[in-house]
Amino acid sequence: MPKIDLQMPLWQQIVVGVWALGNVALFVRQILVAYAAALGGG
Amino acid sequence: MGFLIFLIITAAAVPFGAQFLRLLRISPAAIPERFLASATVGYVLIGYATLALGLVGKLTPWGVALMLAGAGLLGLGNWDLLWEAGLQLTNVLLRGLRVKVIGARKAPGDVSGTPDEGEPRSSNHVPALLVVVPMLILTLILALEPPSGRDFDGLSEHLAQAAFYARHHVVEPLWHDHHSQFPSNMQMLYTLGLSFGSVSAAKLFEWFHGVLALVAAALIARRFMARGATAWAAVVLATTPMFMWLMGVSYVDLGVVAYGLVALLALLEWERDRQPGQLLLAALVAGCAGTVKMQGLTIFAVLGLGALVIMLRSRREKSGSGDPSHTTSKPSWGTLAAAAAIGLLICAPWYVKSAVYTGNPVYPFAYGIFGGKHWTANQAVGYSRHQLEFGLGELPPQDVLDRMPRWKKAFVGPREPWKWLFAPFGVTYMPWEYEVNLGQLPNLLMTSVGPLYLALLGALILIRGKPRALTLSLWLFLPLWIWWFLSMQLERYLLPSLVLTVPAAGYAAYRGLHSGPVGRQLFKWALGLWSMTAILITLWIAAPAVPVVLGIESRDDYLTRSLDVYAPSKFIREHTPPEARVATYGEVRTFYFDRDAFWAESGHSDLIPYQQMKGPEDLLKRYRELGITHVLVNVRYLPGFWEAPDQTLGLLRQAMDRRMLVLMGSFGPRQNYLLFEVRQPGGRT
Repeated sequence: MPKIDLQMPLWQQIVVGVWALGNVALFVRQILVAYAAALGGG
Repeated sequence: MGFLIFLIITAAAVPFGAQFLRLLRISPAAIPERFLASATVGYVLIGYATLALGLVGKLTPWGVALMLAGAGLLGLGNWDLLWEAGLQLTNVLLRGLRVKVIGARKAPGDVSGTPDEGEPRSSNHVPALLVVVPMLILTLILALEPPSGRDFDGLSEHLAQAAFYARHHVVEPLWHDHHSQFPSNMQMLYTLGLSFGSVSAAKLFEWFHGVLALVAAALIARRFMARGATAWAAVVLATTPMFMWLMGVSYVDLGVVAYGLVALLALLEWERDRQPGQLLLAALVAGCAGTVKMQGLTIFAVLGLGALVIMLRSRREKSGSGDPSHTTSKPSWGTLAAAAAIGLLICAPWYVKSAVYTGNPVYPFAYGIFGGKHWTANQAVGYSRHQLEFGLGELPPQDVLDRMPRWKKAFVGPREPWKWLFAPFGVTYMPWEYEVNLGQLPNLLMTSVGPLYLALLGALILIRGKPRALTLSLWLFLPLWIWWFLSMQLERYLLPSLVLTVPAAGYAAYRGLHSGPVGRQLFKWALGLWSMTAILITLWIAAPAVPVVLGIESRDDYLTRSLDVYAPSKFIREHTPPEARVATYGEVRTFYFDRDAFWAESGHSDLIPYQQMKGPEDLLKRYRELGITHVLVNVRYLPGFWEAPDQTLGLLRQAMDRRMLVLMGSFGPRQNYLLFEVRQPGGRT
């Protein structure tokens, strides 16, 4: 495989990192909200 | 015991498949690839041998044992493959265990930015050890659990079919259930397990196909993207909630998932090396996907289209190239045609069987073209509508739909164009819209694809220098995504297509972790948070099954408290003669009856013409013609059972009032299950 530069500019690190973490966090939040609703009989 | 039966069948299937590949001279050289391809082909060949035994009525335990012994003997020269593959897998895991030692000795700042010069090699296996291994153990617990409430299609279709075949030692159409006309290779494997009395063995086949898929996804990432992406690809797939759920039940989807990924692996190898045998192997394995589900044909077609495009591009490039070395590996039309033929041949028997029995090779689909026995135009419309209703938004009423031009029908309701753009978000965050609505929490935990596809595939937009294989796999996914959007937007049906992007997602995770200090931290948190959540979810689902799997709780007690249909099933098993045949209304999960069952509602077949019946005498007459001796009604799923002016329900009520159906017992938390005995002529029951 060819060697490539894996490093990204800071703004790209922030954009892709926040996108990734944001999506995961939002999904986990969805689960917690649904769990709370299920516990509350909602 | 179930595990042993599963191992014996697999130990016969894999070397048998390897021998077949060797005879065709398309056996991959590398052990992991050879194991994957041999398992795929071996399982399909064993499935066909089971079908053949069933069609001639010799599907007895002895018949099956002889068939497996024959397969084992034919594959005798390839048994070393099992050891070699096992050793390699053990080696991967052991190298992961050493990582802490290596990591402790590593000098600070020893992380360079290239795929091959980064962390110590074994550190690539850490995610596999910390996430994938626990997920495998937890899903194995679920696979060893007696089929429960999470296994709806298993209890109603796949295991129920297999149990019928094993009980009667024959494979024949179950006309009340159109699914029995579908390609059924996985059901053949389930039949083998049930022939030896083990439902665990049957379930382990679906689980093991998940393992094959994990290995294939990791291998694609490793061979064609970056070594550091290997384990992350496995993590992405193992933590997909839908995948986790399917590993613990007796559905058949993981067969298509695994074979699709193995076919992609072979196709990418052909794309790199251009050896004709690699293309033939890719086609053969993709064809195997068509033996599991018709959906496999779509994957076969798209991979075939991909091969065609690769070939055309390659020929154009090479015709303009002055490099004589290129001419030796020029792909030919003959190779492509042979690949198409071999792929179609491997799956054709299932479609021929369906055509012979029903007149329709893809029964009950394409009813307008082929028609189909015991199926009607009304049922075809209802079936199609039911499938098109999945997704975000409401389908217009049927009369409105019927008046629309054909092209417009494809872009209404859940298929409005803007929903195509929204679908990646909808599929991720609103899985209940794209599945049978179990409630938001169960849908999120079991039938969603999880957040990593959106998180990681989205991140690829900004990642430069993507490997060629990654781009190719995403291009292959695109038509499958469009097909899914235009046909049935069920998340489970998306999975076999979506998994083609798993290596790409694994690569995105790897690149994110090596993008720089800020990116590394954000990706660490994202992957860590999701991995931990996925393990907790699986633990939460698997924990109640641990006592029954370990033998601390009896299967009977476990099922009585966890599965509503178990109590009436047990009663049927214990209080009806072995030759009893039970018609069901409002219930299709018949596996635990251990008796022949008959889905009697009109949507399933035209075998009971309710609309033409004048009274309960006609119903009883038809019951007798069909050999139906008992009737089980689940009132819970028959709204208005006691008063609705529905023809079917009305006939049932009249038969009950006139004691043509004699109540044997009621079951369930709200006594919602009613079991009747059909009164025979002369007043006998």
